[in-house]
Amino acid sequence: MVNKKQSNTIIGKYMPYYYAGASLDFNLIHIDQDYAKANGLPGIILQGMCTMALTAKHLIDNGNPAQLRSIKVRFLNPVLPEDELVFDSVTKGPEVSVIVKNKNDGRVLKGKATLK
Amino acid sequence: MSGDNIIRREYESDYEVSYEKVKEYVRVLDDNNPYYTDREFVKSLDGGHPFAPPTFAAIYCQPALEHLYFDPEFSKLVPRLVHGEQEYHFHEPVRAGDIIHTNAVIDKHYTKTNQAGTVHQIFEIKTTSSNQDNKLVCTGLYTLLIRGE
Repeated sequence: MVNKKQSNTIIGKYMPYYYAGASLDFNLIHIDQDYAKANGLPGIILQGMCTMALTAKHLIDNGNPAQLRSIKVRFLNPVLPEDELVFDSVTKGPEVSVIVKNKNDGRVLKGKATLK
Repeated sequence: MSGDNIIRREYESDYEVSYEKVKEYVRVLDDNNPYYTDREFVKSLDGGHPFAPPTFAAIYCQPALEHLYFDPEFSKLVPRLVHGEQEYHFHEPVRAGDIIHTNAVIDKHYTKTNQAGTVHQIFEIKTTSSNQDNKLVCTGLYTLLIRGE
């Protein structure tokens, strides 16, 4: 049986700061606009691990977290504050494939997961 | 090549998972799953403590990885570091009150040349995390890319 699911999330303007506080990932590309721009980025970017965490949230969907057995993601493009992300997953048996798109600007993450 | 001399280097850390920290983490994600936030609900399931989200692995593995980032041989590469891929396999669930021991080892180091001819370095870091009962909770594979100049 094939199951498809979609959800949307708007990345808050200050989310990279909040995630930095929670994760202690204070890499300056996430919190300092000047530093990010000097390193070839359009501005501060969201931590990839945060995009991954939001992907896992989409998959677990308020259920028992122990159902998620594995997750593997590739980070394709940076996520910026105020971006709107669209999470699309397709589940066949225990195997899930997931794509996260930025509403304005193509894919930001692709991955696979297993659910029990 | 710079980087080859740190291959197989290992880093260790212990991390105590607290309910308050889990609540902070899920608040950032706007994740209201009762398995993480509702102590009474979880107690009614099996009498145990609230769960940590699976991706909380990023938090309890971080102290071991920080030892890597501050390794003098590696720290000079950090300004050009990009997180390329991430993989986790989950075993025993992690719950508030657990003490997680993590070992991180630099498993592979190689280069990749993109279409523009820029040579990027890739480091693959393997993590193994176990709880206070010596049960495996998570294995991870961090693929870190150091952008070429």
